[in-house]
Amino acid sequence: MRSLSRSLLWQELQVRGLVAGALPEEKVSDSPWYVRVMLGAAGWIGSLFLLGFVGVGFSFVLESELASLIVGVMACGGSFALFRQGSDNDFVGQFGLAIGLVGQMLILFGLYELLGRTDALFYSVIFIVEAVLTAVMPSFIYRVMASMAAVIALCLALNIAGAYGVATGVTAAGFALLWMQEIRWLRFGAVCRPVGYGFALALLFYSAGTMWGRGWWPRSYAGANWVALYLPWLDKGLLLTVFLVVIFILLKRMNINLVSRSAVSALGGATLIMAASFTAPGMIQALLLLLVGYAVCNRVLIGLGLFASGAFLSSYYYMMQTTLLEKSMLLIGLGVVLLLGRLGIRKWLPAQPAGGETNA
Amino acid sequence: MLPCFSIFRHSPRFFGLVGLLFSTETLLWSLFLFNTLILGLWEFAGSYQKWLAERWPLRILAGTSGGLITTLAVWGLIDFRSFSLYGLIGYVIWLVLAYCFYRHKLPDLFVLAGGVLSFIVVVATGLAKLMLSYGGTAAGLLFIGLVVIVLSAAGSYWLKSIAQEEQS
Repeated sequence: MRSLSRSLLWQELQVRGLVAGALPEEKVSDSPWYVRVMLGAAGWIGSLFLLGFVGVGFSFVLESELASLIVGVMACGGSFALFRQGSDNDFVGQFGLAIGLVGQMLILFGLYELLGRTDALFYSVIFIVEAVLTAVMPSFIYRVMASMAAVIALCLALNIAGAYGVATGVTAAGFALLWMQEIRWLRFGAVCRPVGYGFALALLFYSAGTMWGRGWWPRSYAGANWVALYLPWLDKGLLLTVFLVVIFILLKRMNINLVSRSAVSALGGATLIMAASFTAPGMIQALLLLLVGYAVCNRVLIGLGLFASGAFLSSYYYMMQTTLLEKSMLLIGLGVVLLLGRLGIRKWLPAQPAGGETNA
Repeated sequence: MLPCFSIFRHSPRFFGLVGLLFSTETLLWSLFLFNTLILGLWEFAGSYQKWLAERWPLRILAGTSGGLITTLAVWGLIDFRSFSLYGLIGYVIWLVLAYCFYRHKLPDLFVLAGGVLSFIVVVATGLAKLMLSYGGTAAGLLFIGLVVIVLSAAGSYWLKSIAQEEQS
């Protein structure tokens, strides 16, 4: 960014009360996201070997839940100190990440031994632990991983508590709230941004687990009552509500009149998409990522959304209990509808918002 | 994507369980060679046609190609009785060629980051095979863990210096 535009941006942020003080020195931007992904994956691999070292060399740690918890907390404390002291040093940062992940795994192991896997309390405590780690640990990669674990733990706690239809909607709402109101959380960007990615990954991971293997996630059935019967529909309903709210916010943000052609097209298109993907698990979540990604101009979210759309759609195609001929006809039909839709949008909607279309 | 799916769908793996491992290796090699061929042709065409020079499709192809050859190399290391060592030889050639092309000819940080991760995975697998197959020790696990951390930190430093070069 040029120095002139930087100072103008800083002034604008100052006027809005989002920043204070003098313009900070320009420094080389952080690593691109794919370097961070590489570091995160390598940190995981390193931490697994270190955990093996603790398991073989200090087997008494894994044999006692209390020792696991104590060593886990100490490892997380050491990781915190490393992050604080050597945030600019690659080796220290990477070592801190691996130690922190070992600490996390030891704490989870200790809690598992202490509370048992099928107890909602176990997942609730994991949620609290991971949320605290997310807030405290000054590392982007660590925060993404910890927040993802926290959200999945919350989903599983809800599942076991009997509210298994609420988890996806809650996660989607959290994801949309973080990304669509990013400007509000700007002061807490160091925490909120990685948490936003954590929510996105948890949303996809949880949905994938729900779709590809219902046995993946533990859940409890409340019995044949009204709640148990309608909770799965609540899941869809919450997701659709979040999707529509995001569209309304976008229309409002762009000052587009709700009865204008653009708004009617957007809402009509969204309704069509929602109806089409109602029976395709995961599609609404993927499309939500795509929509929010476009809204906030975030390439990572767009990429994740595109990848997830392809994966969920192809899985749905495979899972369909129809003949290949019927599937082929369906694909041809879908292709024709999409092409006609695109043609219709190009014909019906003006390329530039004309007078009366927007209030800007 | 669809040709890859076609190769997968019509591979010998679908003709029965006999020779499943050999077929899996053949399938991985077929997918790798196909992706790498398309990648090479696309990169070549991209130098002449501007509309073909968009990086992300090429990065996905390069990532797929790298992932496949890394899988072959890792399998060759872990299960050398069922899998040939050609995977490891192919991996070394692929890594050197990818480094030369994406570091010097057409710098691409994404592919280089993928290469670093792939190198860490292969080195960790090789060390684990070497040190743990003769009786796993705590010191061996600690050593491998530290090697992974040092390699990833060095990789991060190297990638950041390249990113700075590109920015300046």
